[in-house]
Parts: sequence; C-alpha cells; structure tokens
Amino acid sequence: MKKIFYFGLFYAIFILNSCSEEFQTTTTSFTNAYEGKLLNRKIETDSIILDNPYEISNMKASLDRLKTLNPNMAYELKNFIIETSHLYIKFNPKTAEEEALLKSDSTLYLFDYRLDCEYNEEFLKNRESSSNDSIPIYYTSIKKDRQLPNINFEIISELYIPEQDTFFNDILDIDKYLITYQINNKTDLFNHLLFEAFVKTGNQDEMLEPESTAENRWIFGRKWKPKGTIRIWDNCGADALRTSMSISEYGNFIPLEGAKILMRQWFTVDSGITNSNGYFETGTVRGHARYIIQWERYQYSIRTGNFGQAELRGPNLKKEDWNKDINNGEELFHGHIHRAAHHYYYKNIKNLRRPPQNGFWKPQMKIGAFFESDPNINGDYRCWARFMGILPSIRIYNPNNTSCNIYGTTIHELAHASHSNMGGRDYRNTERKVKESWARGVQWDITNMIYNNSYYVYYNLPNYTLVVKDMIDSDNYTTGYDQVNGYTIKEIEDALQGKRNWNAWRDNIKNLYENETENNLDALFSYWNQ
Amino acid sequence: MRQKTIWMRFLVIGISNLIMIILIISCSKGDVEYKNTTNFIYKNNSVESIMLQLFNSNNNNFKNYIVEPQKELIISTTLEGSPNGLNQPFAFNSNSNNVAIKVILKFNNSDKCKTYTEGEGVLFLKAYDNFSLDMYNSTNNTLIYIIDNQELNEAITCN
Repeated sequence: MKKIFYFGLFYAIFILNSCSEEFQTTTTSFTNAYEGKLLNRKIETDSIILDNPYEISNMKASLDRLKTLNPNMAYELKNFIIETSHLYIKFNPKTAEEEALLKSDSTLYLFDYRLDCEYNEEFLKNRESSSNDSIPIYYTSIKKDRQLPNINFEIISELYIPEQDTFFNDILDIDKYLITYQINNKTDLFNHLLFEAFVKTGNQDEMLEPESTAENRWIFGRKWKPKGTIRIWDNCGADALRTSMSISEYGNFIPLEGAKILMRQWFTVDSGITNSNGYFETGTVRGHARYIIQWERYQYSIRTGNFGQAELRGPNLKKEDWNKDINNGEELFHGHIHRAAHHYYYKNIKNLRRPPQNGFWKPQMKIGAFFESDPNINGDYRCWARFMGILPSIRIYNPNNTSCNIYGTTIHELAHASHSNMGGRDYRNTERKVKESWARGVQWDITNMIYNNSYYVYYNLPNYTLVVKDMIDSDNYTTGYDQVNGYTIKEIEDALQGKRNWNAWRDNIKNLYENETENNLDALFSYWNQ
Repeated sequence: MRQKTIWMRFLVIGISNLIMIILIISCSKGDVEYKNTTNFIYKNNSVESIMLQLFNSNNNNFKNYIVEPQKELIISTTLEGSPNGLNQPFAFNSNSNNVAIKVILKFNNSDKCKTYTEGEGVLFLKAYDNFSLDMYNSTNNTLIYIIDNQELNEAITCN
C-alpha cells in the first residue's frame, strides 16, 4: 500500500513538473553609452529580453517611416507592403512522446532558451544544471504557413524577416552599404528597412561596420558563408604514460566528425555537419551570426545530466570562420560521447545492428553526460528509461577519464541498448555474463576501429569476459585456452538472437556457422565460465 | 452519463499506471558499469630474489617488479566491471601498452625463468592460492599468489 502511495506521489510530482513555469528571464534596461555615436549594450544581469527588430509592428513602423521620408519612391517600392512571414513560437511538450514527436522533425531548429534574449554565458550554463528536472520548453521560428506537429505551442510574436523574403532575392550583393535614407531601388529599401528596424529597437550596433561615424553609417552588405573546422583533444594514449606529464598535457587534436553546427542570427537558423576533416559550412548570411554546436543528431541527443540539451555556444562573428579546438571542460566530455554515438549510429560498424532508432513511439536515444566524478560507476544503460522516454537511457560519468575510455564506455552502453532492441523480453531475461561479455566485445572491436588496437578491454570475472575478442582474434591460437578465431562480430551478434544463457549462445554459434576452430568453442566458453 | 465518463477516466489512468509499473519492474535493475578494486599480493617464499617482468601485446617489457625473499608485492587495480568479482591481474588501464599478457618470473640468483601467458600461473585467477568462487560475490577482494621453491624447480635457464 505504501509503495502504491509513493508511486502515486512520484507520478503527481512528475506531472506537476512537466507543467512548471518556463525558465524565467529578467528584463533590464540597456546601458546606453554613446561612444562615437554607437550604442553599446551591456548585460548587467543574467539575461535581457531584447526589443525585437523583426517583430511585425517594428518592421511596419520602419517601412512607414521610410515611405514618409521618400514620398517619391518608385511605384513598385511604394506599393511594397509587409505581412507576417514567420512566427516566433514556443513549444511546451508535456510528455516524452510529444518531445520525441517534436524532435523527429530535423528541419525544426529547437532551442531551450529564448531567441530574442541575450544571456550572460555563465548564467546559461548554470541554468542548464538547475533546470534538470523537467522537459524543456523549446523555442523556434517557423514560416507562417508551416504545418506543425500536434503539440501545444504559443505564438510569442509575428515576424517579418526581410532576409528570407523572395521580393529581395535580386538585390545587389555589395560589400558595404552607406545609410542615406534615400530609397531608389530594392537594395536601398532592403538595407534601410533592416537598419531602421534595428535602430528603432536599439540593436543597430549589430549592423554597423567599425569605420562608421555619426555622419557616415556603413552597414554590412555582402552575404557570407559561415564555415570552419572543429577539432577535439584526444588523450587516449595518456594511460600509457609513466612520466611526470599530466593527462591533460598528453595527446593531440583530431577532427571532430559528424557534429551539428548551427548558425543563428536572431530568428534565422541554418546548420552544417562537420565532415571527416572537422570542416563544416552553413547557408549564407549577412552580418553577425552566432556559431553553436548542438550535441544532437536525429538518432541521439546528449543531455547535460538528465535534462537540458548539451550545447557549445560559440562566438558571434561576422565574415569570420569558426575554427574551434575543444580541449577541456564539459565540451570535451560531450565531444567524446558524441564521437562514439556518431560512430555507432552513422558509421561503419562491421554490419552490426544499429542501436534503437528514433521514430514514432520510439523516442530518440538520450545520453546523459554527467559532468561529475563518480567513484563507483562509469556508466549505465537503463532499458526502462527508453520506454518512458523522458530520462536518458544511457548515463556516462567521470569526465576525467581518457578520451578512449569515454568512447569505449559509450560504445559499451550503446551495445546494451542494441542488444535490448533485438528482443526486450529476451534481453531482460538474459544472463548478466552474456550481456556484459557481448557489450565488452563490441566495445573492444568498435573502439579499436578508431584507436588501431591500442585500446584494451580487460576482463572482470565472473561476468565481463573476453570471449568475443577471443572468438575473433588469433591471439594464443597455437597454445592455451583460446584456440578459436575467425568469427566475425556480426556472426556472434546474430547468434545472440533469442539466446539467454551462456551455453545456448555457444551452441547457436556452432550451429549457425562453419568454422575450422569451432571444436574449440567448448573449451573457450568453459574457460570463461570458470 | 457523467458517472460513466469519470469511470472511464479512472480506467485509463489505472491502465497507464499499470503499464508503467510493469515496464519499470521488468527491467528496473539496469546494466551498470561499476568500478571494481582487486588487490593482488605476490609473496616470495623462495630463497632467491625474484623479478616479475611484464610484457604487453607488443611483447614490450613495460614494467618490472623485484620481490626480495620473504617479502611481498602488493598491486591494487581499480577497473570497470561488476561491483563484486575479480579484476584481470596486471591490467592497469585500457591502454594495451599497460596490460600484461605475458609475465616472466625470473629468479635472479640462479638466472632461471618461468614464463606465464594468459590462463597460466599469475595470469590465471584460479591459480592464486586463496582463490575461491565466493570471491565472485564479494567486493574489494585480495588474491594471494605464493612463489616458492616449486616455481624455482619448474623454472628453466633464462634466454
């Protein structure tokens, strides 16, 4: 009875948290300091909600002013009208299914913070850790007529985004533009409309070129393509050191592949994926744009703990590449977890089954990156969490582990998830020795595809054996207990299907495949069953 | 009619809760990768000073330990695995350079050697003198390997 009461209590708390207030921002006035007639904005509190230049009323007011100042403008321009082109909205998913449905659309760029806010970076980090108890509210902008999933949302404001209006597709692409308030063509209208809206809302310093003065105000002109290269510090070999050099000093930078880089300029968001050289590029943009790594792909999402999308907010740049070397902190931890998850989900895994896929009623795999040392646990896989879909199925701890240890542990947990996906009931009733020996085998084989056999998986008896490694490699082939080799990891996985215990797995391997060493399988399995 | 609506709501909530309870109970344990510490003690009960020479998979002699007669060597390792059970001997971490897959036991005075590979002697858990299956169910185990004249007699002249 008591248990039922506690369960009910937990459920009630859970439901209440899901409906909790959105993350609160505080508004503060700008510090207006005219230096060279330019407006400087300082964030004196944790965050400020900016006056939004793209808000439809601001854009309309700006256009009206331009028309008033230019009564004789050309017919086409005089008749130009502004209508809502985009909506700035917030989603408030109540359940994991709703969140999964929202995230299943990879063309929707979701942020768990407002897009019309400027944040103190430290505040954003702290917010992530303090909001780890509920499904986040997501903010995005969409085209007005876009179909949305059936999830509760609220329109924060209606927008007009000139940069995305086809009316302005044929404007001149010039390096810099001088503001004169004389509108003779579309290029003049486009630049003045934007500038006026930014002035009206106190954001003009984002547009002005450094050489601008009060008399000559130059604004950005030419489109540019945000691009760059992302590398990550790989200290895998540090474990081999027996010198005075510390772990953080040992290693080298390697390209970070498969990372999703967002470029955001107010409500315009585009993305690129880093290639095998760590290089990315996004769509073109005018003016400043903020680079962001969102540690998420369609199949998986890395969380900062239980909730909160892991994200690396890069700089706000104009016409500059972002060449980022990730070498410490949470971003390093997230990066190595990403590398392993990206490998298992998207790269060559020797024809193994992929871990659970994203889809309707199949929530995206969530990996909790716990940036804390745990003296007892390196990671875990919780199959029930996937059914619930809210909490991460996989949790990884100990960010101070070397890169290949973080990589290997993530692969190990994903191997459990993949095994579970072969048949949940079978998996739940499978002997621990079978589960852990299989996951150890995948950990060894997949991780060493990257680390060229320098990564060793040791045994820990009775459950964590090296039986999979022994069936594949040719070590000890001539003598000793291991006189088996030549099986592939794919064959060993296929033989796992529906087999819950040690000997059934062994017998299925024997039955399914012809291998000249199969008569030694009994001895090998017997050795590891000591 | 209203009574029927209320009854239906309770039924839906009840079934939902039941499904959640079944799912949680059915795989509530999870698969946790714990850290396990095992202590290995090598007692030299022979009359000679001995050297344990550790070789990794590249056949590099990456570490040596000297144990004087009637002395002992203690090595503790903390590795990923079950909370209970035993670690692999001479595995120091996940770098293949730091894991012994061959150990040469060298008697320094007589220049005799005995070689163990995986599954033999100091590289075989069951060969430890105090090994028992109960250790698979307990934490922070200590395994003891006694080196005495038996090993000395089995050793051959070193290469």
